[in-house]
Amino acid sequence: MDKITKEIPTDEELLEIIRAALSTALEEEILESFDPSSVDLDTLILRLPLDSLTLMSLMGRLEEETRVFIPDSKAFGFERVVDVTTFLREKLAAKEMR
Amino acid sequence: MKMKAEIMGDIWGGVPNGPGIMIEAEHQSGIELWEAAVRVASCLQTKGVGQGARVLITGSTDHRTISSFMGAVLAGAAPCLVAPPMLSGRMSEKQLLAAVSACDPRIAISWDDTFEGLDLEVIDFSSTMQYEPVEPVQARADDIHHIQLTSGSTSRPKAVLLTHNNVQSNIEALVVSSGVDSSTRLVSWLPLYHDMGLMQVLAGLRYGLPVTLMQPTSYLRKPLDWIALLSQDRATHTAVPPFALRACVRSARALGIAEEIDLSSLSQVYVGAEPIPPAFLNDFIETFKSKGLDPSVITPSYGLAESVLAVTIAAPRGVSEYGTRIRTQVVPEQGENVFQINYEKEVVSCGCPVQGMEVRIVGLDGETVPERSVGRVLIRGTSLSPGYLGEDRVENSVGWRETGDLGFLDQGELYITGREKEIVIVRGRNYMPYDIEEVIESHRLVGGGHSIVTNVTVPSGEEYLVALVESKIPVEEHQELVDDIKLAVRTELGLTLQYVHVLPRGQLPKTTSGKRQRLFARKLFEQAM
Repeated sequence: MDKITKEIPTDEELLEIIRAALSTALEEEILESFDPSSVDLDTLILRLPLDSLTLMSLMGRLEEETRVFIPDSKAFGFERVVDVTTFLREKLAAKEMR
Repeated sequence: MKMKAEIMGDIWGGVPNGPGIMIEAEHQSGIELWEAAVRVASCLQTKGVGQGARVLITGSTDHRTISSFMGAVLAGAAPCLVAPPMLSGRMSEKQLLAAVSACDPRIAISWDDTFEGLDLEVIDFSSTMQYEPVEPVQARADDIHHIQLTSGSTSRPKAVLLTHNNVQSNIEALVVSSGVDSSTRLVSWLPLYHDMGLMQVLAGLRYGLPVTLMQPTSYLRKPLDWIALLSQDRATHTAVPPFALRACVRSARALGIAEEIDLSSLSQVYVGAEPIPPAFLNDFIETFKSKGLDPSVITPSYGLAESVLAVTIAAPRGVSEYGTRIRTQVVPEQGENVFQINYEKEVVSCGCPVQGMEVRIVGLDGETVPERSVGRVLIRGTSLSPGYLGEDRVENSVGWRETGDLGFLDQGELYITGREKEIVIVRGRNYMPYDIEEVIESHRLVGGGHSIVTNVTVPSGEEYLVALVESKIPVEEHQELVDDIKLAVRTELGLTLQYVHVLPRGQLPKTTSGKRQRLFARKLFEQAM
């Protein structure tokens, strides 16, 4: 195990991670008409140009970045971006406690 | 009670004591799968579920799916795997109801709540373990082996009847063209309710080949995990739709490829289930060449649920730019462009017909056209389904069957250039455009009959899902409508429309009788790109 001394990231830091993940999870053609930096915490997940497949790929990217596993049922249940960051922060905090 | 070897030979495929199937690090031997299957068969027989009765089974990637499927086959019933609820809500529920109505099942087998709330008798898989094995039913060549649903449609999907002879013929054809031997190892992430995913498992069971499966969602999360599994397992054979190759390339570019990856064990990577953009193949080869990927293992193929799986498979030949199985050419021009083909398109050879199958290209008049002329693709042969559930059975291997695809032959090899049938294909799965139009037209500013959904091929060779919509609203409100429509389609169906174009009311291309001109709409989009 790595020594985790890092602080739990803030919503804003996680939002940055989500924006970066979007820019790699989405296809180039989609990115031509969609700017990940326009995403904020209040954005509806369904407003993002994700289908059920690219949503899974986004979750994969987030998992890689944060080392938090996001179950399928969770992934399809998020309503807004803030729900994702909240979930990630809670999991990271729980990890910290251990 | 002992099972007779010849019965296993007929139905299971001769090697019940094969190496079995590994699913996400959990292994079940051939014998374990067989024993569970025999108990499922026994349970079904006890309940009077016999010949031809449809058995609906949750198609998740799970040993229980495989045992239930084989158990139903051993009982002489006709299993049908359905997509497990996609967790995304409304869409899956509708889809499941559509599958149930298409398949008209006598009973279902499950271990979760997939079929809860349906007016359907459901066997809990674990309850089958209390049944004593009985003698499996002897199947005849023309008996139904299983039923394959053709689309992820929310309207009525077609339930393709596949006979024992069909399945056996196609597995044999696959094995002949794959050069299967004792070193063969299959790895797949494709869902079992997809014909390509199912056939890899059936071929593995039939010939006693080790099979490793990964969950489709694991692949979608991390495409490179599939690459890692191919490497780690020393896989020789795998199969994917072209979009999956592209996803790996994109992930590799973003994240890099692990040092230890070694793809030199691969001997065939089947690519099919949707149109094959040449660039996807080339990019995949370029990306993984340094990891031991031999370009000649990339194997374009063509098939459809109605032929179990494969109709044509590319065979190795002289070295070309992309590798030894890949040959591309620009669609040959011909005088009258009756099929409205885009001639600038570069298309990939899907190879020659597999054992037992034949391909013929005909013009509008139904007459065979010369080589290098585009026409309707017709098929016939031993793998060809006798028809659809609920429709009259067609005499097998006698008549030629329309595939709905357009293409040409060159030196006996099939090139697919487009299609006439109205399905849209998204990442290897078929959808009916009406389902999507229905969602769009439920918007109060659109209304019934005012949209057309189709696929268009963009210059990269990829297919985009697009919609033309007509509405009375002023131009400055178009963007908002487009956003709303995209949102609705994503919410209801989990699909992304790449382009939505709004026209003034009355300008949607329709025939004089008011029928949507889908092919014309496709042409408009292709010209605009």
